Amino acid sequence: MSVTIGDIVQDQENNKVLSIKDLEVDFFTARGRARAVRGLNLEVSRGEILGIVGESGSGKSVTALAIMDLLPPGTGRIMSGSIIFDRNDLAPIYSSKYRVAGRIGREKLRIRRMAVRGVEKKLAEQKGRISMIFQDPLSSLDPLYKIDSQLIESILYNNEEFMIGKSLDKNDILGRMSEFTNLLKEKSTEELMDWINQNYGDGGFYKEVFFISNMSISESEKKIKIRRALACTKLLTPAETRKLKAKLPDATGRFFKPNNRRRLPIQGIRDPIVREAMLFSLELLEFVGMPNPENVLTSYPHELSGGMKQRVMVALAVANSPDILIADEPTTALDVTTQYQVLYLLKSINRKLKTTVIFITHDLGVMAAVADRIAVMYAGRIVEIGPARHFFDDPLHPYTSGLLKSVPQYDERVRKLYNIPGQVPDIRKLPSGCAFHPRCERVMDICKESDPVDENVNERRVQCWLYSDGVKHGSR
Amino acid sequence: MAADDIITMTNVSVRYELRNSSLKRNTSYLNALSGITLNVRKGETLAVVGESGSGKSTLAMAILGLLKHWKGTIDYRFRECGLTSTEDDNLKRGELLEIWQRSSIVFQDPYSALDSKKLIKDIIAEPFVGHRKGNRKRAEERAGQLVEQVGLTLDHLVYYPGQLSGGQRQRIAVARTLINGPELIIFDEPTSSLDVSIQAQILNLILDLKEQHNLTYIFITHNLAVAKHVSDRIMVLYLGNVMEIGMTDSVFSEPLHPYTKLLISSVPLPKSDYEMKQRESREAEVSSIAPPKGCVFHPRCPVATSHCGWDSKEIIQLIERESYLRLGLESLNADMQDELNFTISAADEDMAGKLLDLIGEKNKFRIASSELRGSKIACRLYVSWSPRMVPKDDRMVNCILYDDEFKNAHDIQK
Repeated sequence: MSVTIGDIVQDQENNKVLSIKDLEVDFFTARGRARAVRGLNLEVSRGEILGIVGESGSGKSVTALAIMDLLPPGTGRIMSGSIIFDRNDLAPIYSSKYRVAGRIGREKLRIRRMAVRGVEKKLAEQKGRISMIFQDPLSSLDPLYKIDSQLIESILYNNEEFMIGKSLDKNDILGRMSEFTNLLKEKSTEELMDWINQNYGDGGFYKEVFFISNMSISESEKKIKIRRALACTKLLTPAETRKLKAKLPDATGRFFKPNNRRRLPIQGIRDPIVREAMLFSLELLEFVGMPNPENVLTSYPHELSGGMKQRVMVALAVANSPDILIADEPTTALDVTTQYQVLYLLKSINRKLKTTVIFITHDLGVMAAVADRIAVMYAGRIVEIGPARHFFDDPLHPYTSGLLKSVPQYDERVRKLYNIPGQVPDIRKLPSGCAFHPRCERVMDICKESDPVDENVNERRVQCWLYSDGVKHGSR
Repeated sequence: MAADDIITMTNVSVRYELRNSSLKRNTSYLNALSGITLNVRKGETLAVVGESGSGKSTLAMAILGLLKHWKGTIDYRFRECGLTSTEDDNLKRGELLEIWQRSSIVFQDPYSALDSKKLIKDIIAEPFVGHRKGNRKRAEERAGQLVEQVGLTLDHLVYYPGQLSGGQRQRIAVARTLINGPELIIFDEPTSSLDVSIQAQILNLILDLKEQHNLTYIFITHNLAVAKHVSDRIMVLYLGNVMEIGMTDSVFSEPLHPYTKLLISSVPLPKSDYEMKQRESREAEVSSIAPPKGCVFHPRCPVATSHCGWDSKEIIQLIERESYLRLGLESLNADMQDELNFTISAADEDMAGKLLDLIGEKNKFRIASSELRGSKIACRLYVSWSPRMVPKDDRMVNCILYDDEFKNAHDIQK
């Protein structure tokens, strides 16, 4: 392909938030090399919900892990390709870490170490901008620490700047409280936000009010929350203000040592930054619609139900207002009624905060509920991608139509379900040509010999010889 | 009991003991099933649906006689074998063996259900040999027949489970249940750990086998689309109580119980025109350890009436939250006399008036009467009605909204 990085950067100007080009991820296992992702091309537009469907072993989770740099060290490796996020290619940064691990001379090691530091610095710029929700909420939360510690840890590590700004802004507002009280009485929340934006910019307090204004509660409740946000702030001494102001420009995040002794109320916390983080974590839980957020903050993960834990995960994921939120089967472990609420929450986060969501699932119903665009993965490749509205009525790839036919339907009752014969291939020994050909109903000779290439059909892209002009003409 | 019933459960209750401390003090109980009455007809497929913790799997264990402590009666009417089991007269070992020959179970996880150290032929033959139905040679012959019936080849007999995929293992698990010629098979979430395309294969296999072998199925699942596909009748469980039971088609086309409605409307459909709607979210923490009084579903029910089982504690919590949001009260000073009576003390008479307005508003808090006494408000709640199974059209519903006696007593218009 003749696409250069330059072209892709150009592309990103045009509303693409993430572009993946020819990504290859291999796993080196005792039983051989497994090709989990084989040449994946994907563009994610800003503000959309992209759904990725596929059966187990199709490489959908591995793609997500590769984007997050969470591939299991030692076995999983990005072999080639690029992951371009915010004009930076992340793939070489990620894979350069592996090269350092080899046995090399002392001088070389020194150079490599410096290179790694460079890498770390670049990674630090990306941190908190892509976040991920995992399938099993129980194993993603630390069972030893209370929910507040875990939220504060993430907030302070990724977004200390925001907390410092918040503290300074609010301290200033407290100085002119009478003016602000009048505003609070007279103006709507939107007008208030404009006022804060003009006076204090769009970091700090503005961001907090932005979260409050996007909660699904009534206008008067929002005002109460804004007032509480001010009331819980610590009034700073001039020395503290100076200290915080000096810290603000190079706030790169700090490690928060979680402890379980601290209790609400927030007033008991001395450190202004930690106090702001505590308040913000309470607001986050309110934002995700948690019942009794005050009690949840001081609970351990095991004290919460599955749906509540998954909401804490969502709160953690949106805490740093990421550009991209990757949700890897977030509702598989939940009951249908809870699933509905979590799906609705994710959808409203996408609409309200304009967060791009990559939603991975194997449930086609869930896909219909949330996704704007749907990609179907099979054996490490995207075999079909296009807008959701076409997906269910007019699937292109034989695998997609097979999948859709094999789901039991609600409204019509068929005696026998359609089933795709055979099973998902072992990614260590993939069949020749198109990986789907042994199970395909419409298999042709060419499918067994050579790999299909991407074909554009209207606004959609499909990887199947059926849609290739050359083959069509050739077969006539 | 009707002649064509294979299993009749009358008033079956199961509770599990939870030991909180090693000193065995304050033992609490988890009510897994509370008073289930159910009949399973010969030759039908009964689907059992519900959320996790609703008692679906406990039901399966009760039927198979795997529980030690339970209450109620279960009648078994197999061909040439009728048995009755009650809490006082638990089944003897020999009787249990009779039941286990005629009924069998397929578990959710095909990976842990098969012994990884045994060959497939031994796994399938194990129930046959164990029940002394015949010698090894005969057992292997049967295993060979069954392996072909479930769509695998004779070669698979000498494989180990580790060499098979999830779908193939589930086929082996199904073959194993068939070896003693059962009449009843219980499926406990048989496809929930399988991929969509494999799920379709297994569901087709299960339905084909039912016709070939003249079987009765109890199909436990949380996937409503699967339940609808396989079943003739469906039973909806919630916190150990039957909410609704009836023919599958009519339950899905017109669900009656509010919980069934909630459940069915929560399933996203794979259709391009499917859209999610904002729902009034009424969330409440419910557990089977201390199930809500009255109707167990009332804290989450969108159409709950004043008589559904509200008690003072719940209502005080509701008022506390509302007064914080609307009046900005940090804490509410409430005194609970008993389950139906409580008093709220306000700081002054002005605030008491405001609180009274809040409470009286649209009867949101289901309060029968509230009275202002100085700066105190005395409140009384309605007496709750316990729901019971009432017939409605062709099914049974466990909701007072369909109870004529309740309607007559309270003159409630729908």
